[in-house]
Amino acid sequence: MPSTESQPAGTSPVVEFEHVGLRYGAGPEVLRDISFRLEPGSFHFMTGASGAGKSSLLSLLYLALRPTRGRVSVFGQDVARAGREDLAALRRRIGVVFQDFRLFDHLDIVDNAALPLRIAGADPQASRRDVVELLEWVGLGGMLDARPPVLSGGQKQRLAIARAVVARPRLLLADEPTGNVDDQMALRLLYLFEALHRMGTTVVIATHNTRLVERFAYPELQLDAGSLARLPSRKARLL
Amino acid sequence: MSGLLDLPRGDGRLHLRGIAAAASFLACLALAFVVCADALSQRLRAELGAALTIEVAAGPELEARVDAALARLRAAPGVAEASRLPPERMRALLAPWLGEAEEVADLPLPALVELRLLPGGGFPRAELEAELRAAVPGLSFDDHASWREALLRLDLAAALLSGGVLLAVGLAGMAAVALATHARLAARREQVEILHLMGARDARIMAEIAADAARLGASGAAIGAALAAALVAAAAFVAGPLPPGALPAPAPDPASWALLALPVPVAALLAAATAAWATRAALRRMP
Repeated sequence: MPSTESQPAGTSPVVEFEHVGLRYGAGPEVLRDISFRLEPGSFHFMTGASGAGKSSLLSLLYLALRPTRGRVSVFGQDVARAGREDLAALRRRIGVVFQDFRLFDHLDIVDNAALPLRIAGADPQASRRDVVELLEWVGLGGMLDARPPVLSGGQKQRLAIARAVVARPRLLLADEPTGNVDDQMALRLLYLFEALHRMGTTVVIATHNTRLVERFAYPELQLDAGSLARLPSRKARLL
Repeated sequence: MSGLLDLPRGDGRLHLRGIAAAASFLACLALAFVVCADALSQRLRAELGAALTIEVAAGPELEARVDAALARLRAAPGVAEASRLPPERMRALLAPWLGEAEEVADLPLPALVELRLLPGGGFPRAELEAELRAAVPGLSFDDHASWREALLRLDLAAALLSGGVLLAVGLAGMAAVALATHARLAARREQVEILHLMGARDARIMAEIAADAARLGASGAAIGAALAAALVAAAAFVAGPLPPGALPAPAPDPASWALLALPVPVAALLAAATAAWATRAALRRMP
């Protein structure tokens, strides 16, 4: 398993937060003074109790929200200074597994999974074989013509994961990606994330699944009431 | 999958298409009314402008005076035909008012000369009128000026009325198409947001939604225009053919039929513009 912490000196981070705060409207800050860097090719679990701010932090990472204070930089670009075209280009380099999947009910499985490729301008026919291969890998190969409404929660989750990874993003963010699958499928999906990680993708997985966090030796971004602590892997802590 | 969104069938498509069809139907009928009223007015004015009636007052030597006037008129330039209205035709025309009693035949009626002018002008009306008035006692010209002025006023009133109807129908149709497009976009809002988060360019999302709205607007408007054209054709069929000399049938001329297709591109453009504008506004609310 590759090291997640030791990066070459001088490598610019994939993500850098400096004293970032976030509040919704006039409410209290849900994220407070967050500062951290994600180095290229790193793998982190994001943990914390419900309401700790995991989804908010992920939303900042996949550029769905802007911080109310502090500085967020993604792929070396200050998000506050980026134009709309630049932000769109940054988003195309990020794969996201949403907790609520956000699939397109009117598209079949192949078209759903191929969506990031289409957005990137890929030829749908040329990329179909890769998409089908990926869908087979996540166990959806036997139902390529099906549409999301007929899928189970676990199948939807696997489709959402396939869609997030199909374009080989530089940064992969997953919000509870194993919440609706059994342990065996959860392991299989984590191996998929690891395979991407080995190809250089930076991975952040928000999860409540402590078994997975304990099994894989990756450091944690632990959120507690809007504050972030960066911890070594649980394996390392147990030693 | 043809587009990025490949917007689904159903949910809102019929709504937008139906509204575009209804708006187009009403706009086409209003357009048809404008076209028919204008054609009718133009034809009536042309007919009146190409004819003169010359009256020779009853009195001594009526026949000689009429013959002298006819001879001079037939020799004048720009005259296609000059003929006296036969006395029996005059009596027939007066019969509804005076009856057909034998006494009526003894009434001292004036003689009427119908003058048809050649198209293109050249008829020296003022000079000839002065000459004939001097040469033929009791002669007067009637060029139907009062009728033509009345028709012009009627034409203007009809144009104002139908223009107002067209404007009202057009604005109501535009508002309805815009609202339906907006409602359709609201249903697509989550898809737009997901595409945005996946890095789709604003212009691409806008173009796709605008193209979809344009297709729906155009197809709905085409249905409405076709129905309106069928109704106008049926009305023309019921009204005509009319006997020669009667008012022209209320049907658009062949070139004007093309005008009834105008709501189709207008609806398409309007739906596309509304969809693009609403999508842009929704996207601008996203970071």
